[in-house]
Amino acid sequence: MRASIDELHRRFSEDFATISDMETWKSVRDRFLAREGGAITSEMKRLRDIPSQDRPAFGQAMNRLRASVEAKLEEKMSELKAATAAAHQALDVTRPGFPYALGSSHPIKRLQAEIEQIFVNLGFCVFDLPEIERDYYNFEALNMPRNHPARDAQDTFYLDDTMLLRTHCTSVDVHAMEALQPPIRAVSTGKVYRRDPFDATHSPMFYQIDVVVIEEGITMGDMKGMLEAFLKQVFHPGIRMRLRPGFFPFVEPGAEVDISCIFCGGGGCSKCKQSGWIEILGAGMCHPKVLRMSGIDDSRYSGFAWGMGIDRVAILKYGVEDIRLFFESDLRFLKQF
Amino acid sequence: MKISIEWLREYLELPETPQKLKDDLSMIGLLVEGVEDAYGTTVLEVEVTSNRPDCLSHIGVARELAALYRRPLRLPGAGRPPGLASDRIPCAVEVRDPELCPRYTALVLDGVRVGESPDWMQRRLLAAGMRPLNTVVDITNYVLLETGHPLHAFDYDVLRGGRIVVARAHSGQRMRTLDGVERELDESMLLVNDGEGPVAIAGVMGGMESEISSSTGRVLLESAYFQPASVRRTSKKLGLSTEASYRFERGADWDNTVPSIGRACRLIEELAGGRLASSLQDVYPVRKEPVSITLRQSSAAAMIGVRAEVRRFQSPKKRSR
Repeated sequence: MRASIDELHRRFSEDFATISDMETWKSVRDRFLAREGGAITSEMKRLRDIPSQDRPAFGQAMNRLRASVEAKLEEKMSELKAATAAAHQALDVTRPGFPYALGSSHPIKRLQAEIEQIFVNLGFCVFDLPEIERDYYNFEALNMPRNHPARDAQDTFYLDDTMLLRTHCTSVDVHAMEALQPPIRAVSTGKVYRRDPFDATHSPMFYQIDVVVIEEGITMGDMKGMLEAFLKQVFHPGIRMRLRPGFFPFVEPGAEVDISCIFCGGGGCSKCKQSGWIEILGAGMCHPKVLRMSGIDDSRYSGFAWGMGIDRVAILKYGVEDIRLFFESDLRFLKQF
Repeated sequence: MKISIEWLREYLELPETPQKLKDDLSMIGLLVEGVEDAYGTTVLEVEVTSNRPDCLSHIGVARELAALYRRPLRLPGAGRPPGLASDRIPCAVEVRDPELCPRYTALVLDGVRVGESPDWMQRRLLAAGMRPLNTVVDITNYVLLETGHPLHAFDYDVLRGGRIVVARAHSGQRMRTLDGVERELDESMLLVNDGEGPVAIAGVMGGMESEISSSTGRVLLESAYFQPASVRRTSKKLGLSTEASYRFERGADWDNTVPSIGRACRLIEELAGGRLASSLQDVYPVRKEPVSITLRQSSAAAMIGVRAEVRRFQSPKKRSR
């Protein structure tokens, strides 16, 4: 009887020495203490087979053994836990860090910033104004009174009789003329809104840049020179530019500005409808009425203004076929920039 | 707007290829968006900006090309001045709102036989995107496409009292327009009335009752100038845009009323057997004088940055006269 207890103790000591982690700890515990088939548990069950005079001694011996095994296991468990925690805290300073999933600037926002920077470098004043605008600034002060047919070209989201979502950044030119005295060099970029369908070439919300320059002695030649330099910087130094007569009520004369097709170089392809030219922006000499309405002396000063769709530039520059891709927040698309 | 090259050739020499015309028109501000062959002619799809209502016709485009190529323009004559006609049929015109209708001309033809217009005219209308209906309506549309001036023809026998009264509608007034729709009118809208009630929404669309039909024998022709803002307001309010309203709201030519009505009158005489039966009524209370614009070579140079020869400003206008 004594011998069997010693034997159990010896076996436990041997097995206990092999414990190295949680897994081996568990298998040792189960081997000795499991309710079913644990070596100590099974030995205890033999109690009733033992002659009654020996029972108390055997029982006490077994209980001692069991208590000591449990205590040892408990102590081992604490050691193991401490070791694991220590292992977790260990710092490998040579290991590369886990990168955060950082966003990147949206291609249109980036283009907007790049274009704006060109004018900042030229000493232009940047105007960043709300997208909700008064009818006066969006239309009337730009020589488009109520019932002017040119309003048809810009189907407008009206908020009420006098407020609307601006249909172009040209409204900012009026604010610039009111706020500054000539010489004026102002640029504004931002979102504009029109009641257009949302399809491959239209979006009810898009981005524009508008530039206005007012000084003594400004001519259309100045406008042409600036536009050519700007467009060469945005697209390619090799592009050519041409002006066609155009109509915007706030300028006279007005021009549509084309660049030689950036896809075929001007030879004619499907992108330029075989013409070799791509319409890129609208420009013109500030209408004297517009200057006067904003308090500029039109007998002394002249100026030019032009506006361009930033999304349109992005579409051309990046060869994107569908404007909607820019606004649908699909990461598979946005990650390519 | 669809412009037929074959039709343009009636007004000036045009040896240029359609492609050349497309490029040249685009570079003088009349952007050609497409070229197609239709009804035996080559048709240019021209985008006309809203500041150029003078280009909304074949003569209008021909005038630009004559100036560009420096070639003489041959315009169709209006024929016999309609003012010399008899007074067999009374035709009285009263304009109660001269602000919204600065000029109204009218005349009456009798003996009209309404039938199908000749093939050449139907083809030209179709090429320009219009549906041929009958001789008289086709002639008014033809003159519109030719001169850019919108005309309207009424069945004279349906007009009560044989007279025309141009006045604003009263609120709650209704009329059925040519497209069969019952329209509700208000005080902001200008109407053409007969002796009793509305027969057309001025500058927008005629009424169904006085429409030209196969039984029409007497025709009252209208050639007027309506105020652009008023036509535009009415057209917007009714959600009704027509070839006529499109031109009036951009600005028709008040001096074109008489030549255009004369041209239509002669065509009805030639093609529908009509005879002029009234004198030409021309209600034009406040004469609009031609505007002179002073163009200084120095200011032009200051604006465009290039000094152009005076001769280059002059010659296109001189030659196209």
